[in-house]
Amino acid sequence: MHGYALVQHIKQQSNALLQVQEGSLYPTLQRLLKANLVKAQWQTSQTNRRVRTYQITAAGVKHLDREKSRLHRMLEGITLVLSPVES
Amino acid sequence: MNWLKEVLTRKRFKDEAAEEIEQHLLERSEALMAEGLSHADALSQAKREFGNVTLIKEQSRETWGWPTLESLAGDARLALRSLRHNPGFSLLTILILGLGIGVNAAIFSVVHGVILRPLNYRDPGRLVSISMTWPDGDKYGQISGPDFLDFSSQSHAFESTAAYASDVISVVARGHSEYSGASYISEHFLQTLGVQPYGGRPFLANDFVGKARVAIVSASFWIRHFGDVPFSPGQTLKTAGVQLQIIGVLPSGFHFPESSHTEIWFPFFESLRDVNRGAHNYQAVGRLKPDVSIKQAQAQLTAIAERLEKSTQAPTKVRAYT
Repeated sequence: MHGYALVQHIKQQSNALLQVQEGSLYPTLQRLLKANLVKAQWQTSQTNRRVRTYQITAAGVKHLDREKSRLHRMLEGITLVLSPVES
Repeated sequence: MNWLKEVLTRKRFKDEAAEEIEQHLLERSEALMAEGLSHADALSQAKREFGNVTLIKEQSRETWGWPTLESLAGDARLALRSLRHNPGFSLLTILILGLGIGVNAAIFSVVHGVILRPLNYRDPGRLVSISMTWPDGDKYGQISGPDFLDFSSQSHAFESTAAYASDVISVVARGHSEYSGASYISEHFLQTLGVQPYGGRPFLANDFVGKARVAIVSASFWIRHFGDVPFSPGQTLKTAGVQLQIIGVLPSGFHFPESSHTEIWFPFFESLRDVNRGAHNYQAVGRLKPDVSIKQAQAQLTAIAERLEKSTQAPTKVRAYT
Protein backbone atom coordinates (compact mmCIF):
# COMPACT_ATOMS: atom_id res chain seq x y z
CA MET A 1 0.00 0.00 0.00
CA HIS A 2 1.38 3.43 -0.83
CA GLY A 3 1.16 6.58 1.29
CA TYR A 4 -1.92 8.19 -0.20
CA ALA A 5 -3.80 4.85 -0.20
CA LEU A 6 -2.77 4.35 3.43
CA VAL A 7 -4.35 7.66 4.43
CA GLN A 8 -7.57 6.74 2.63
CA HIS A 9 -7.58 3.22 4.07
CA ILE A 10 -7.26 4.41 7.66
CA LYS A 11 -9.98 6.99 7.14
CA GLN A 12 -12.39 4.47 5.65
CA GLN A 13 -11.67 1.63 8.06
CA SER A 14 -12.23 3.89 11.05
CA ASN A 15 -15.41 5.41 9.65
CA ALA A 16 -13.52 8.68 9.42
CA LEU A 17 -12.89 8.66 13.18
CA LEU A 18 -9.17 8.53 12.57
CA GLN A 19 -7.67 10.91 10.10
CA VAL A 20 -3.96 10.67 9.58
CA GLN A 21 -2.24 13.99 9.24
CA GLU A 22 -0.66 13.65 5.83
CA GLY A 23 2.19 15.86 6.92
CA SER A 24 3.19 13.49 9.70
CA LEU A 25 2.70 10.31 7.64
CA TYR A 26 5.77 10.58 5.41
CA PRO A 27 8.35 11.38 8.08
CA THR A 28 6.90 8.46 10.10
CA LEU A 29 7.15 6.10 7.13
CA GLN A 30 10.77 7.13 6.64
CA ARG A 31 11.54 6.33 10.28
CA LEU A 32 9.85 2.93 10.01
CA LEU A 33 11.80 2.26 6.83
CA LYS A 34 15.06 3.21 8.45
CA ALA A 35 14.28 0.94 11.43
CA ASN A 36 13.56 -1.97 8.99
CA LEU A 37 10.01 -2.29 10.32
CA VAL A 38 8.66 -1.84 6.82
CA LYS A 39 10.16 -2.27 3.37
CA ALA A 40 9.39 -0.18 0.32
CA GLN A 41 9.44 -0.59 -3.42
CA TRP A 42 8.38 1.52 -6.36
CA GLN A 43 5.49 0.16 -8.36
CA THR A 44 2.92 1.34 -10.87
CA SER A 45 -0.50 1.93 -9.37
CA GLN A 46 -3.88 1.03 -10.85
CA THR A 47 -4.12 4.61 -12.11
CA ASN A 48 -0.83 4.08 -13.91
CA ARG A 49 1.10 6.23 -11.47
CA ARG A 50 4.58 5.54 -10.12
CA VAL A 51 4.05 4.99 -6.41
CA ARG A 52 6.11 3.73 -3.55
CA THR A 53 4.42 0.91 -1.72
CA TYR A 54 5.20 -0.25 1.77
CA GLN A 55 5.05 -3.73 3.23
CA ILE A 56 5.50 -4.70 6.86
CA THR A 57 8.54 -6.85 7.64
CA ALA A 58 8.82 -9.72 10.12
CA ALA A 59 10.49 -7.33 12.58
CA GLY A 60 7.64 -4.91 11.91
CA VAL A 61 5.05 -7.57 12.77
CA LYS A 62 6.76 -8.30 16.09
CA HIS A 63 6.98 -4.62 16.87
CA LEU A 64 3.32 -4.15 15.97
CA ASP A 65 2.32 -6.98 18.33
CA ARG A 66 4.22 -5.36 21.16
CA GLU A 67 2.63 -2.00 20.46
CA LYS A 68 -0.84 -3.52 20.24
CA SER A 69 -0.30 -5.25 23.56
CA ARG A 70 0.79 -1.96 25.15
CA LEU A 71 -2.24 -0.22 23.71
CA HIS A 72 -4.58 -2.90 25.09
CA ARG A 73 -3.02 -2.61 28.54
CA MET A 74 -3.37 1.14 28.43
CA LEU A 75 -7.02 0.90 27.35
CA GLU A 76 -7.65 -1.62 30.10
CA GLY A 77 -6.16 0.79 32.61
CA ILE A 78 -8.22 3.67 31.33
CA THR A 79 -11.38 1.55 31.44
CA LEU A 80 -10.69 0.55 35.06
CA VAL A 81 -10.12 4.13 36.07
CA LEU A 82 -13.28 5.31 34.41
CA SER A 83 -15.44 2.44 35.73
CA PRO A 84 -17.79 3.33 38.61
CA VAL A 85 -16.32 2.38 41.99
CA GLU A 86 -18.23 -0.36 43.81
CA SER A 87 -19.18 0.82 47.27
CA MET B 1 33.67 1.06 1.38
CA ASN B 2 30.62 0.71 3.63
CA TRP B 3 30.60 4.42 4.30
CA LEU B 4 30.37 5.18 0.57
CA LYS B 5 27.51 2.75 0.19
CA GLU B 6 25.74 4.35 3.13
CA VAL B 7 26.24 7.84 1.74
CA LEU B 8 24.83 6.84 -1.64
CA THR B 9 21.91 4.93 -0.11
CA ARG B 10 21.03 7.85 2.12
CA LYS B 11 21.03 10.23 -0.81
CA ARG B 12 18.74 7.91 -2.79
CA PHE B 13 16.31 7.55 0.11
CA LYS B 14 16.23 11.31 0.57
CA ASP B 15 15.39 11.90 -3.10
CA GLU B 16 12.74 9.20 -3.02
CA ALA B 17 11.06 10.69 0.03
CA ALA B 18 10.72 14.02 -1.80
CA GLU B 19 9.39 12.36 -4.95
CA GLU B 20 6.89 10.37 -2.97
CA ILE B 21 5.40 13.52 -1.45
CA GLU B 22 5.09 15.11 -4.90
CA GLN B 23 3.23 12.02 -6.10
CA HIS B 24 0.93 12.21 -3.09
CA LEU B 25 0.01 15.82 -3.87
CA LEU B 26 -0.67 14.98 -7.50
CA GLU B 27 -2.87 12.05 -6.55
CA ARG B 28 -4.83 14.10 -4.05
CA SER B 29 -5.29 17.01 -6.48
CA GLU B 30 -6.54 14.62 -9.16
CA ALA B 31 -9.08 13.25 -6.70
CA LEU B 32 -10.23 16.80 -5.95
CA MET B 33 -10.43 17.61 -9.67
CA ALA B 34 -12.65 14.55 -10.02
CA GLU B 35 -14.93 16.19 -7.47
CA GLY B 36 -15.16 19.26 -9.73
CA LEU B 37 -12.37 21.59 -8.67
CA SER B 38 -10.17 23.31 -11.24
CA HIS B 39 -6.58 22.13 -11.58
CA ALA B 40 -5.17 25.18 -9.78
CA ASP B 41 -7.73 25.03 -6.96
CA ALA B 42 -7.27 21.28 -6.55
CA LEU B 43 -3.49 21.56 -6.29
CA SER B 44 -3.82 24.46 -3.89
CA GLN B 45 -6.25 22.57 -1.63
CA ALA B 46 -4.11 19.42 -1.75
CA LYS B 47 -1.16 21.45 -0.51
CA ARG B 48 -3.26 23.11 2.19
CA GLU B 49 -4.45 19.74 3.45
CA PHE B 50 -0.96 18.35 3.39
CA GLY B 51 0.59 21.14 5.43
CA ASN B 52 3.98 22.78 5.00
CA VAL B 53 5.32 20.75 2.07
CA THR B 54 8.87 22.07 2.27
CA LEU B 55 9.08 21.42 6.01
CA ILE B 56 7.65 17.90 5.72
CA LYS B 57 10.02 17.07 2.86
CA GLU B 58 12.83 18.32 5.04
CA GLN B 59 11.67 16.24 8.01
CA SER B 60 11.43 13.14 5.80
CA ARG B 61 14.90 13.76 4.39
CA GLU B 62 16.35 14.36 7.83
CA THR B 63 15.59 10.76 8.74
CA TRP B 64 18.30 9.77 6.29
CA GLY B 65 20.82 12.47 6.98
CA TRP B 66 23.13 13.85 9.58
CA PRO B 67 21.01 16.89 10.48
CA THR B 68 23.59 18.69 12.64
CA LEU B 69 26.37 18.26 10.10
CA GLU B 70 24.19 19.25 7.19
CA SER B 71 22.78 22.21 9.06
CA LEU B 72 26.33 23.32 9.84
CA ALA B 73 27.36 23.00 6.20
CA GLY B 74 24.24 24.92 5.16
CA ASP B 75 25.04 27.68 7.63
CA ALA B 76 28.59 27.86 6.34
CA ARG B 77 27.39 28.11 2.71
CA LEU B 78 24.94 30.86 3.64
CA ALA B 79 27.61 32.74 5.57
CA LEU B 80 30.05 32.57 2.65
CA ARG B 81 27.39 33.80 0.21
CA SER B 82 26.51 36.70 2.52
CA LEU B 83 30.14 37.64 2.96
CA ARG B 84 30.71 37.65 -0.80
CA HIS B 85 27.70 39.84 -1.48
CA ASN B 86 28.57 42.43 1.21
CA PRO B 87 32.34 42.97 1.14
CA GLY B 88 32.16 46.08 3.36
CA PHE B 89 30.18 44.26 6.02
CA SER B 90 32.49 41.26 5.65
CA LEU B 91 35.55 43.41 6.27
CA LEU B 92 33.94 44.98 9.33
CA THR B 93 32.97 41.55 10.67
CA ILE B 94 36.47 40.21 10.13
CA LEU B 95 37.96 43.25 11.87
CA ILE B 96 35.61 42.90 14.85
CA LEU B 97 36.28 39.18 15.08
CA GLY B 98 40.02 39.79 14.78
CA LEU B 99 39.88 42.41 17.50
CA GLY B 100 37.79 40.12 19.72
CA ILE B 101 40.16 37.21 19.25
CA GLY B 102 43.14 39.50 19.85
CA VAL B 103 41.67 40.83 23.08
CA ASN B 104 40.88 37.31 24.24
CA ALA B 105 44.41 36.17 23.44
CA ALA B 106 45.80 39.15 25.37
CA ILE B 107 43.59 38.43 28.37
CA PHE B 108 44.56 34.77 28.28
CA SER B 109 48.23 35.78 28.18
CA VAL B 110 47.70 37.81 31.36
CA VAL B 111 45.74 35.00 33.05
CA HIS B 112 48.39 32.51 32.01
CA GLY B 113 51.14 34.76 33.31
CA VAL B 114 49.46 35.60 36.60
CA ILE B 115 47.43 32.50 37.49
CA LEU B 116 48.37 29.45 35.44
CA ARG B 117 52.12 29.82 35.16
CA PRO B 118 54.05 27.48 37.45
CA LEU B 119 56.35 28.90 40.10
CA ASN B 120 59.15 30.80 38.49
CA TYR B 121 61.87 28.88 40.29
CA ARG B 122 63.98 25.92 39.34
CA ASP B 123 62.55 22.61 40.67
CA PRO B 124 60.05 24.31 43.03
CA GLY B 125 59.05 20.97 44.60
CA ARG B 126 62.32 20.92 46.57
CA LEU B 127 61.91 24.37 48.03
CA VAL B 128 60.84 24.52 51.66
CA SER B 129 60.02 27.36 53.97
CA ILE B 130 61.73 27.21 57.37
CA SER B 131 59.97 28.84 60.30
CA MET B 132 59.82 28.71 64.07
CA THR B 133 57.02 27.15 66.06
CA TRP B 134 56.16 28.67 69.37
CA PRO B 135 56.29 26.28 72.32
CA ASP B 136 52.79 27.14 73.50
CA GLY B 137 51.01 25.99 70.37
CA ASP B 138 51.07 25.38 66.68
CA LYS B 139 51.59 28.96 65.68
CA TYR B 140 54.70 29.50 63.66
CA GLY B 141 56.44 32.56 62.46
CA GLN B 142 59.69 34.19 61.56
CA ILE B 143 63.14 33.08 62.49
CA SER B 144 66.02 34.95 64.14
CA GLY B 145 69.37 35.60 62.43
CA PRO B 146 71.51 33.44 64.74
CA ASP B 147 69.02 30.57 64.62
CA PHE B 148 68.97 30.69 60.83
CA LEU B 149 72.77 30.56 60.68
CA ASP B 150 72.89 27.64 63.11
CA PHE B 151 70.25 25.67 61.24
CA SER B 152 72.02 26.31 57.97
CA SER B 153 75.46 25.31 59.20
CA GLN B 154 74.40 22.28 61.27
CA SER B 155 71.83 20.69 58.93
CA HIS B 156 72.90 18.51 56.01
CA ALA B 157 69.43 18.39 54.47
CA PHE B 158 69.78 21.45 52.28
CA GLU B 159 71.76 22.31 49.19
CA SER B 160 71.48 25.89 50.28
CA THR B 161 69.40 28.13 52.52
CA ALA B 162 68.54 31.80 52.52
CA ALA B 163 67.02 34.32 54.88
CA TYR B 164 65.13 37.39 53.83
CA ALA B 165 63.06 40.23 55.23
CA SER B 166 60.49 42.12 53.23
CA ASP B 167 59.44 45.72 53.40
CA VAL B 168 57.92 48.46 51.35
CA ILE B 169 60.39 51.27 50.85
CA SER B 170 60.45 54.64 49.16
CA VAL B 171 62.92 54.59 46.34
CA VAL B 172 64.16 57.09 43.77
CA ALA B 173 65.43 55.99 40.38
CA ARG B 174 66.23 58.33 37.53
CA GLY B 175 64.47 61.18 39.29
CA HIS B 176 61.23 59.31 39.85
CA SER B 177 60.24 58.27 43.33
CA GLU B 178 57.86 55.49 44.27
CA TYR B 179 57.07 52.94 46.93
CA SER B 180 58.35 49.49 46.00
CA GLY B 181 58.31 46.06 47.55
CA ALA B 182 61.85 45.28 48.65
CA SER B 183 63.61 42.33 50.25
CA TYR B 184 66.82 42.27 52.24
CA ILE B 185 68.39 38.94 51.49
CA SER B 186 71.20 36.69 52.59
CA GLU B 187 74.00 35.59 50.32
CA HIS B 188 72.52 32.43 48.80
CA PHE B 189 69.01 33.72 48.20
CA LEU B 190 69.05 33.61 44.38
CA GLN B 191 70.97 30.34 44.35
CA THR B 192 68.43 28.73 46.71
CA LEU B 193 65.47 29.81 44.58
CA GLY B 194 67.33 28.78 41.43
CA VAL B 195 67.05 32.09 39.64
CA GLN B 196 69.74 34.04 37.84
CA PRO B 197 69.74 37.62 36.59
CA TYR B 198 69.14 37.68 32.86
CA GLY B 199 71.06 40.91 32.69
CA GLY B 200 74.01 41.88 34.87
CA ARG B 201 75.42 39.67 37.60
CA PRO B 202 74.20 37.92 40.75
CA PHE B 203 75.27 38.98 44.22
CA LEU B 204 78.79 37.93 45.20
CA ALA B 205 80.12 37.20 48.68
CA ASN B 206 81.87 40.56 48.68
CA ASP B 207 78.55 42.38 48.27
CA PHE B 208 77.57 41.19 51.75
CA VAL B 209 80.60 42.66 53.44
CA GLY B 210 80.27 46.12 54.97
CA LYS B 211 77.59 48.60 54.00
CA ALA B 212 75.15 47.82 51.23
CA ARG B 213 76.24 49.25 47.90
CA VAL B 214 74.36 47.23 45.32
CA ALA B 215 70.83 46.10 44.40
CA ILE B 216 69.15 43.80 41.90
CA VAL B 217 65.78 44.82 40.49
CA SER B 218 62.86 43.11 38.81
CA ALA B 219 62.33 43.27 35.05
CA SER B 220 59.21 45.41 35.55
CA PHE B 221 61.12 47.89 37.77
CA TRP B 222 63.87 48.14 35.16
CA ILE B 223 61.44 48.75 32.28
CA ARG B 224 59.44 51.27 34.33
CA HIS B 225 62.44 53.41 35.16
CA PHE B 226 64.96 52.81 32.42
CA GLY B 227 62.81 51.73 29.47
CA ASP B 228 62.45 48.45 27.63
CA VAL B 229 66.16 48.21 26.95
CA PRO B 230 68.72 45.57 27.85
CA PHE B 231 70.46 45.87 31.20
CA SER B 232 73.44 48.17 31.24
CA PRO B 233 75.64 48.81 34.27
CA GLY B 234 75.87 52.26 35.78
CA GLN B 235 72.24 52.82 36.78
CA THR B 236 71.52 53.57 40.40
CA LEU B 237 68.65 53.83 42.81
CA LYS B 238 68.48 55.68 46.10
CA THR B 239 66.68 54.63 49.27
CA ALA B 240 66.93 55.95 52.83
CA GLY B 241 69.61 58.35 51.64
CA VAL B 242 71.83 55.55 50.38
CA GLN B 243 72.76 55.30 46.71
CA LEU B 244 72.99 51.74 45.38
CA GLN B 245 74.36 50.46 42.10
CA ILE B 246 71.93 48.27 40.15
CA ILE B 247 74.01 45.24 39.25
CA GLY B 248 71.39 42.99 37.67
CA VAL B 249 67.82 42.45 36.52
CA LEU B 250 65.89 39.30 37.39
CA PRO B 251 63.73 37.46 34.83
CA SER B 252 60.30 38.82 34.04
CA GLY B 253 57.63 37.65 36.49
CA PHE B 254 60.01 36.91 39.38
CA HIS B 255 58.83 38.79 42.48
CA PHE B 256 59.67 36.49 45.42
CA PRO B 257 58.39 36.95 48.04
CA GLU B 258 55.26 37.55 46.02
CA SER B 259 53.16 38.60 49.02
CA SER B 260 54.85 42.01 48.90
CA HIS B 261 55.39 41.97 45.11
CA THR B 262 59.11 42.45 45.58
CA GLU B 263 60.87 44.51 42.95
CA ILE B 264 64.19 45.28 44.62
CA TRP B 265 66.61 42.95 46.41
CA PHE B 266 69.46 44.18 48.62
CA PRO B 267 72.09 42.36 50.64
CA PHE B 268 71.34 42.47 54.36
CA PHE B 269 72.61 45.70 55.88
CA GLU B 270 73.45 43.87 59.09
CA SER B 271 75.22 40.66 60.04
CA LEU B 272 72.71 37.94 60.91
CA ARG B 273 75.10 36.69 63.58
CA ASP B 274 75.17 39.99 65.46
CA VAL B 275 71.43 40.36 65.98
CA ASN B 276 69.57 39.10 69.04
CA ARG B 277 68.57 35.43 68.96
CA GLY B 278 65.19 36.41 70.29
CA ALA B 279 64.55 38.86 67.44
CA HIS B 280 62.51 36.80 65.02
CA ASN B 281 62.70 39.23 62.15
CA TYR B 282 63.46 37.03 59.16
CA GLN B 283 61.88 34.48 56.92
CA ALA B 284 63.89 31.58 55.56
CA VAL B 285 63.78 29.26 52.61
CA GLY B 286 65.82 26.16 51.85
CA ARG B 287 66.41 23.92 48.87
CA LEU B 288 66.38 20.24 49.85
CA LYS B 289 69.14 17.99 48.56
CA PRO B 290 67.78 15.57 45.93
CA ASP B 291 67.94 12.52 48.22
CA VAL B 292 66.46 14.19 51.30
CA SER B 293 62.75 14.14 52.09
CA ILE B 294 60.97 16.89 53.92
CA LYS B 295 60.44 14.52 56.87
CA GLN B 296 64.18 13.92 57.14
CA ALA B 297 64.80 17.66 56.95
CA GLN B 298 62.21 18.24 59.64
CA ALA B 299 63.83 15.63 61.90
CA GLN B 300 67.26 17.22 61.50
CA LEU B 301 65.95 20.71 62.21
CA THR B 302 64.04 19.51 65.26
CA ALA B 303 67.18 17.86 66.66
CA ILE B 304 69.20 21.02 66.04
CA ALA B 305 66.46 23.13 67.64
CA GLU B 306 66.50 20.97 70.78
CA ARG B 307 70.25 21.32 71.08
CA LEU B 308 70.04 25.08 70.59
CA GLU B 309 67.28 25.36 73.14
CA LYS B 310 69.46 23.69 75.77
CA SER B 311 72.56 25.63 74.95
CA THR B 312 70.98 29.06 74.51
CA GLN B 313 67.94 28.88 76.80
CA ALA B 314 65.88 30.30 73.94
CA PRO B 315 62.76 28.52 72.70
CA THR B 316 63.65 27.30 69.24
CA LYS B 317 61.17 24.77 67.96
CA VAL B 318 61.28 24.74 64.22
CA ARG B 319 59.15 23.61 61.34
CA ALA B 320 59.91 23.09 57.68
CA TYR B 321 57.11 23.03 55.14
CA THR B 322 56.81 23.33 51.41
